[in-house]
Amino acid sequence: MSEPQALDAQALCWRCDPQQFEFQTTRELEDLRAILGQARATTAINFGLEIRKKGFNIYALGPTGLGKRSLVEEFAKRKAAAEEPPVDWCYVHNFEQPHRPRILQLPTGRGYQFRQEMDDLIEDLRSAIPAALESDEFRGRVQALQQEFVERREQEFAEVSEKAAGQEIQLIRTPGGFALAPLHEGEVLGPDEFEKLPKPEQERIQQAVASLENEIQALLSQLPQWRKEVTEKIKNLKREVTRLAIGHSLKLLKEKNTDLPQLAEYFEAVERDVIEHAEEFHRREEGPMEILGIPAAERPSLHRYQVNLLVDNRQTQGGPVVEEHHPSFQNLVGRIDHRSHMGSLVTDFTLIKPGALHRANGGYLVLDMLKLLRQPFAWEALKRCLVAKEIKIESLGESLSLISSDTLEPEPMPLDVKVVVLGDRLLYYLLYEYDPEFSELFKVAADFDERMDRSAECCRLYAQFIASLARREKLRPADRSAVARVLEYSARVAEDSEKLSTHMRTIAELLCEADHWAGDAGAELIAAEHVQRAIDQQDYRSDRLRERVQEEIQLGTFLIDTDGEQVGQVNGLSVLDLGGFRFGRPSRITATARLGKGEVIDVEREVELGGAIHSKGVFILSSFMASRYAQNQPLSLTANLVFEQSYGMIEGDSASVAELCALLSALANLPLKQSMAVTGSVNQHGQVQAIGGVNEKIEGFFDVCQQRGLNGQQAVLIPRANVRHLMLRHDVIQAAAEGKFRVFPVETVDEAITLLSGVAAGTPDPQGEYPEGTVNYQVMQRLRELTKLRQQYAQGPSDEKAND
Amino acid sequence: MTDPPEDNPAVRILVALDASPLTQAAINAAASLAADMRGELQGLFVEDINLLRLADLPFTREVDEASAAIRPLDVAAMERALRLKAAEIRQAVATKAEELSVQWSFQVARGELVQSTLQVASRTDLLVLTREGRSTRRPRRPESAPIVVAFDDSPSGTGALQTAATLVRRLGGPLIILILAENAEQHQAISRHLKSWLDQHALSGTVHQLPIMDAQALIQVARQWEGKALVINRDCRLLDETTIGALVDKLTHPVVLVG
Repeated sequence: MSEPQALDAQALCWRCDPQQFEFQTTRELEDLRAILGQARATTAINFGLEIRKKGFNIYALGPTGLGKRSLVEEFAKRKAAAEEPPVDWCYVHNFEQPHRPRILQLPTGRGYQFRQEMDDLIEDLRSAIPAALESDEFRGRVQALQQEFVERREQEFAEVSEKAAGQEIQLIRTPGGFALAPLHEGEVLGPDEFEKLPKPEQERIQQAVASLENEIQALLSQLPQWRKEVTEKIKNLKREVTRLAIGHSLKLLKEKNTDLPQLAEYFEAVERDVIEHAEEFHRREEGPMEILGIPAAERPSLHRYQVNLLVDNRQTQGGPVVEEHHPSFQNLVGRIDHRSHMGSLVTDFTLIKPGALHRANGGYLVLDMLKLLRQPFAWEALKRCLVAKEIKIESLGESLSLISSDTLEPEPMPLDVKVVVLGDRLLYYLLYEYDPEFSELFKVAADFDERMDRSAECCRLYAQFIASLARREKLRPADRSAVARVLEYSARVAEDSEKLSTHMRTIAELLCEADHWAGDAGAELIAAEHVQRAIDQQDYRSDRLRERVQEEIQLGTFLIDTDGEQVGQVNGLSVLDLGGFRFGRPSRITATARLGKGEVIDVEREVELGGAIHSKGVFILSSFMASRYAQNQPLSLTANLVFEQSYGMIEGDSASVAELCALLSALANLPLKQSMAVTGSVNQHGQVQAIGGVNEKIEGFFDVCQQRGLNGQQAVLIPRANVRHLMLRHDVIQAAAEGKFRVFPVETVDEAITLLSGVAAGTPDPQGEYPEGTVNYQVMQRLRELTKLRQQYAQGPSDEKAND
Repeated sequence: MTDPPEDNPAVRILVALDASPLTQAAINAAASLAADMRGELQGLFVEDINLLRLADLPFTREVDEASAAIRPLDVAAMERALRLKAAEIRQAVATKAEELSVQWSFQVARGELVQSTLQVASRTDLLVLTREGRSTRRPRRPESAPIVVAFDDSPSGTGALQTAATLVRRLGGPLIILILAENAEQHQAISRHLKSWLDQHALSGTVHQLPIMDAQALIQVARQWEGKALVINRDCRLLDETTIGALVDKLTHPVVLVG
């Protein structure tokens, strides 16, 4: 096995050569029309917007800052611009079922016209109906009808009265009704006079009175019927007069809207209702209504002829693209407002307010998934609407029984909308897994990639993107050195020297800052130094904690050696990610080994400061130990692994190579070079696997070494698989180029321990024995000693028993 | 109840009613006149002697207007009903009088309405009479119903005009003037007098002529108008006690007799 060689300085970072660009400044470049690095998402969004089948709504997934929103909006607007504006929607009164307002679909722009026409009609009727009902003709006809009743009544009573008079009896009014009085010479007979009459005469009078009483009784019984007949006649008359009064206005209205058959039925209903309730127009002339002395705001009854223009698209150009930033239940599906009236809450169809779904109907609705899920009942409401393909406005308070008030059940509005939700991947996968309706309703996933290939063509497009951004944000043009530096930064953000970041917000923020520093320096162009200054300033603003950690290491509070050798001790590397700023920090990892039962104790795990992945790493290295060194004998050791001076949670397996090296050093009693740090995870066969944050880890150790003075011995061992991810700082590369600092790629634990100890790891012979003097040989020897000791201890007690 | 001040020989407006359904119109008209003339309103309730006599008959029954039920009638029940009616009218007079800040009094008489009223009233009293006791007609009076005044060349004819003008001002409605003239010459003379009076008082009214100088014609024409009140001077040649009785019986609105 040959010892790994340190990487050349060129391999530590991809340097973008500004000379590769044909332009001098981005001013020469055209705007970027395409979307950078999001071919998959772009195709998905295009497909999702084109297909008008149920359930093909779009979930744009990916972290924030990738430009999901702007891309979706741009595509939706571009598509919507070529479409016809959607129709108008109105709510009108339902004369048959007032609690269920009717919805009317009208051609674009006709909703406003319809509302105006109905308002005008009400105004017309407000004057026409009172005028008709106050006219002399109408009043005369009413009086005639009433007179007819009076005369009929009089006639009937006159007949009874005459009949009575013919029998010398007078019909007379009493305080409570009618009575019949016998007369003599025009005077009512008193009891004495009556007694003086002959008996037959008395009997005649009594019989006549009784008969007349029955007639009066029959007459009075008929009066309510006659009164009802007159009332009905007057009502019919009022209907006829009202029909005539409103006929002209309604006829004009109907003629104007003959092309809208859906309005014909409504106009008929309005006509019937106005005729039946003409007195409401009449009463309006009497001034404001008062209830218990409190003036009511306005008579509400005429509201029912108004039109609630819910969606007015008369000024809409193309299809609507609506983005709802506060997707609450009510903002999505609309609401029914109430007004306070005499201490209670009342409502009517004019108080129905539209939601985002109403406004976006016939177009596109863009929502943020996280915000949507945070709003109670909003997600469920959206799904209900999409499944039913209609918007049903419900009162949340009513449905939850939180309030009890006058409420409505508006007729649902048919829904045809393309919903695009923006969210991160975790939400997508969780919803996909746990919400059965999700996959039915959001069939198009537009997966936004955080990285793109770093080809020459991509670099050119990236430059064009920078040019577009500078123009859009009114920044100074960037010269090609600045473009090159931005590309390097982009690769660093992507954590891959072969890739570029598509996190456009990060790039845009960097350019804005670079523009500021260019302005600060009085430059007309953004140059590489301005970009570098922006990067440095961003780091400086965020690296208080990193600086403090470095300071404590220099002061010796955190014990980190960068020279010398120690047994069972190695420099591991970890990454701290705080508030979007990541930095590496060396950590001392120590191992001890003693006689035991084959355990490798992860102290972090024992005290519950180690995460599951970290524990997994330790179990794997235990397995490696047993597999390599205890094939034919028990692993008779107990080893302890510790992250020294770690007081928080340790997670990840990137320290498992370091832990294994420390353990091997402890077993073999072999000192390890403290001028080196190690990162990488290990598998059961001893292969070193890739880890994350390689750049920050190397830089973290470099910073410690640099402050103590680089001596050419200091180095970091990284997994070979991570070499392509190297995008190190320029000062690190400079040090490497000068031979003051090295980065070694390793593929196996043996390579790592060889570099750390300076002793060959050793390869086994066919019998499985390692050459004497190698690390593995010494480890095997120590384990055999421990096994022997264990066997001795195992036999010890029986010997003692025998001695007894 | 308030008594009229002794040093004020104010006009007394006597509103006479009987047990027929309360006609608030008569009280309103009388109270309005009292307020305008700063006179005293006197309510007179006449217990119709015929009703009491009728109730004393052994077989008398009453057909209830509201329910059409037939029930026995006796004197005690009738007197109770009349007392209640009197109290009701007294209350109505008091309420209206206090509303218009008018002095008022109330008394009950027993007899026949017109006869009793004329007995109680002095020559200068202004009488407001109404009764529906002998009539089966029910009053219907819209806001626009007119005030009708019968005007002749008798000495108190101008008083009737003034009273009618007061009622128009107080109660609203158009003024209709019914000229009572024997012939064309008399009609012209009365018309001239009338025009001069109307101009002087800045009033307008519709003028009609009674076609025949006859009490029945007066009753018939007055019934056609269905006004708020018929105003007529007591010394009108067409009026005697029988005619007054007939007018009160036949009209559903109050008859205002100006002394």
